[in-house]
Amino acid sequence: MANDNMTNKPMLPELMKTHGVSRRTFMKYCASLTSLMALSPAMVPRVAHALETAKRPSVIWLSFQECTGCTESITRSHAPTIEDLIFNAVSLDYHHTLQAASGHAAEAAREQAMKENYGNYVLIVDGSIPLDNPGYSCIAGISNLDMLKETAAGAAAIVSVGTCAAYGGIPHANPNPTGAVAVSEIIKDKPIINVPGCPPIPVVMTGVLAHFLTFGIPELDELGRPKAFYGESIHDRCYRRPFYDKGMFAEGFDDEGARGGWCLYKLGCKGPTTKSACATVKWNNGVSFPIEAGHPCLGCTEPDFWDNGGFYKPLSVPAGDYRKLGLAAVAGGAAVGVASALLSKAGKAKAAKAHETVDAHDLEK
Amino acid sequence: MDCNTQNDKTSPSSGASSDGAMDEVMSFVATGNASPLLHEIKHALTQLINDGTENIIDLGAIPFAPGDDRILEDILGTGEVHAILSLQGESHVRESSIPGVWRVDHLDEAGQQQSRFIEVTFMPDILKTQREDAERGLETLAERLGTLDDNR
Repeated sequence: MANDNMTNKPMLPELMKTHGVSRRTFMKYCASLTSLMALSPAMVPRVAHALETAKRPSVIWLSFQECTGCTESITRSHAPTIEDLIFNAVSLDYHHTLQAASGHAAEAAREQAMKENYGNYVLIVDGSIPLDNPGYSCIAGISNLDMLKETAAGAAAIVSVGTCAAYGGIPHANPNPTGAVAVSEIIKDKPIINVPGCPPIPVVMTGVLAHFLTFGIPELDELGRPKAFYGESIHDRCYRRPFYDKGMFAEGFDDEGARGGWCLYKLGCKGPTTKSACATVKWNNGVSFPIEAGHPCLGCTEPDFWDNGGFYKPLSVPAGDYRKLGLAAVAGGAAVGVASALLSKAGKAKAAKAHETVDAHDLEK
Repeated sequence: MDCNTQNDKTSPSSGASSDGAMDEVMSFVATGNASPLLHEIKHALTQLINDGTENIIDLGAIPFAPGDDRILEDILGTGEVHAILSLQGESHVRESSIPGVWRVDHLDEAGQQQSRFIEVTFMPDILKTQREDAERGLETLAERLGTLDDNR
């Protein structure tokens, strides 16, 4: 954890040697990583060269309003993988969940890393930031907002890991009691890479990091996500897609369709509107992903997935804004002293009315 | 592991049904991408023969249904070489029955697919001893010889 003056030294060749990783294994990894990053196979030698010569950047990881699921995810890749080596090849100078130091000693490590690498370190953030009251979430007496602003000032780039940091996530869900917002709503003058997911896939996190180390900031979509990992919907890559195309849908979790592995669209699958690499990269070292386990996609890489009309309702397109309707009901109730439950009920009815159910054919239009 | 086994792992019905009839049905569900891919392979093989240009096609970049895999397997067939490499999980390098067209499948330590490619080449690079490994091998051999000499 400690900054050991090795920040600018390429580490991977030495680490490979120490761990007995052969060049062939490294080339295999580069081939798979290049495929994962959606680059041409002709780029494999360049990826290999870039990984070998990549500098070892200082990384500061800040955790705000979160559940630690993102950290759990990235540390759950089984060792020794080359992803681990790459992750070891960064100088992780501050991560209050993983580091041994705590309190003021930990903060001193962060301040030292910032001072020594000012303008060059990578800032990784997981968790949303509460704006209503600084006391809702503090670390060593420092509010999340102050710590983010202070640390972001000297960062070369910011990686918002998880849907909470990227889009506010579950803390931001209606009625958003802490006023939670995403990193991008506070920091406007730094490049920000969003890596959403609840949590994100481990190899996607390490893949984004590898891309940043090798080729810099990856190409991003309109929501700030790397196109290589979030360029296609789960639906586009789903192995159940042929059933969708044939109009074969599971109608319940134990019917013939569910047993036959048919499309989960009618059970609320958000795959058609969710961009993620789940269907190709999969989870638990490529074992499976939610749809393969028989559960519809929740759409966790998309903003406001928690408020998007119910996990088990067939996909619908909200014509109104749930959040605004909900907040208006609460504010109205406080202002005029009317029971908020009554207004919430009215808001719910309006929201239900404003929703237009679509079928499979509408999605193809 | 042969290719059919690998296909079974990724077939739509593998996670939810053991019904052989379903597998049979799924093996005919195709996206239509197999045919243009096979033409791409034909062009690449022509290039290899004419001027030695090697080509690699990333199968992960193309939407494929089990039916497409079946067509690809039927047309390319199985050739003379099947090498299994142990590289933090197996890698299978197989020459198809069309010499010069190779299937390269990388699996992780749990046996799950990491990536898969068609290589149109006289010899896939990953089969060759890598220079860095040979250099490390030389160091290892020198070390072992030193130990042998010390023990005399």
